[in-house]
Amino acid sequence: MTTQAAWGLDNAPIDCDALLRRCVGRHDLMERILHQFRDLIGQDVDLLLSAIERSECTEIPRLAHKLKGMASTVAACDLANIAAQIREAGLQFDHDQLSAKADELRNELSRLNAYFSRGMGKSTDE
Amino acid sequence: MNNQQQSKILVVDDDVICGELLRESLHEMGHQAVEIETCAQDAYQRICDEDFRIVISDWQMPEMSGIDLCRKVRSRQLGEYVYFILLTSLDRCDHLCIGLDGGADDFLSKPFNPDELNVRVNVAQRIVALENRNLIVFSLAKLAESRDPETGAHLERIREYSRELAEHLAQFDELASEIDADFIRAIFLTSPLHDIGKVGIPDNVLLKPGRLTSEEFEIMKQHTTIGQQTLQAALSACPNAGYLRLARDIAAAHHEKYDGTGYPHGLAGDDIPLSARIVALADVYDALTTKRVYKEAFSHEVAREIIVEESGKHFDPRVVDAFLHKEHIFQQVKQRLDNSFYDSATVPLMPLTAST
Repeated sequence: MTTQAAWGLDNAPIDCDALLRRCVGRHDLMERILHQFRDLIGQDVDLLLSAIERSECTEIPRLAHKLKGMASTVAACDLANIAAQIREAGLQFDHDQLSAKADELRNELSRLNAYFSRGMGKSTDE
Repeated sequence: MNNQQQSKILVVDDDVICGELLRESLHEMGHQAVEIETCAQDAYQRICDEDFRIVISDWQMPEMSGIDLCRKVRSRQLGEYVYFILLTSLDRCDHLCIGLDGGADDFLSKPFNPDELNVRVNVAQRIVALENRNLIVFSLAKLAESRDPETGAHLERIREYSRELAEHLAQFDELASEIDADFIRAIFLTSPLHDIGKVGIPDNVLLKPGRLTSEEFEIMKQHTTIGQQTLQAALSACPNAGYLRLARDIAAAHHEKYDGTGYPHGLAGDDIPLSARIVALADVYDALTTKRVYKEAFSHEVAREIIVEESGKHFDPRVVDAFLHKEHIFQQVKQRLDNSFYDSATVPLMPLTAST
């Protein structure tokens, strides 16, 4: 059974199996990385949402790219996809799309916060 | 891979999570010497000051991008080769071309695959291991010295003295642009080549146990131009090897004097390359404080007096000033290397030569 399935989370915001492979099979490292991600993600999402609200054309793609990179690293695939779409919309100055994606971003952050508040991402070895 | 053969790796990424994951993954794969830097500017300074031979850098970072960092590293004149891996989600062909054109050696997709990371870093380790220039240069110097083994650990002392002087001179504002960490490493590397031209001097002159006649001295003086030509030929074959330029300048000009009375060209003042002005003092100090066939070793105090007397004549006064600030270290170096040489020397000494 996969780590993901062991938690009963086939549709979790983070693909822990992919992350565990990236952590060369070390559960302790995966847990540390997820802790860091949890501590940083709120601030990074807030910065991006603020940039969207203020229509900061140069900041939106930069912050979205950074968020996409971090999300990809921890296998937060949905968040990475949303960030990638925001980056594209930012590069094209597509304000309608940016507004729609900002809502998706808020929802995804809520989903992640709920995931972390349930203690997910803890090692199954414990 | 044996850890002792591994080169130090610097991971540069403003994404702290990715940086940590890279470091831990590399540790897990047996690459122990891995450090992280989140700011490209700071990373550049560390690459200059420390001995990282492999850099894994994110491409898109604030203030300075990974490709700009790579270009800056490549623009160094005297540094050792740094293998540069760009970590990027920018995987279009034009990005690859920009990266390679900027001097990158390899790419790694982001998010990285640990197996791919491992094999690419192993490739990097193999390639940087090919550049054993320190060993080659010192072996070459030792080979030249074998025809004229002045006294014990002469080359080892010269490079230590030269480095000490350069480190002190780096504090002068007017020299700071010339003397950076690369210069200091390069003068340590190349100062032992100062007399490489002696391989072209005939035995009856080079190995003559007494004082040289004026004609013989004219022949002996040619070791500077022979060394210059030898190293220039190497430099012409490998123009990007900036350290060979430094080596050539030292070989050519370490017998020039600050007041213009030296040889081979009678250069004066700042027309003499700084590296040669530094090695000139190191070489003379070593000659004064070691026993030669025609003289006993002078004490440090006597050598010091002679060097101070020659400030502005034989030597650049700033180099003399550096010597006075570092004289205690000169004494320590001499004592340490003299002891280690006599403890371990197995090579029989050939007849010693007159001073050149």
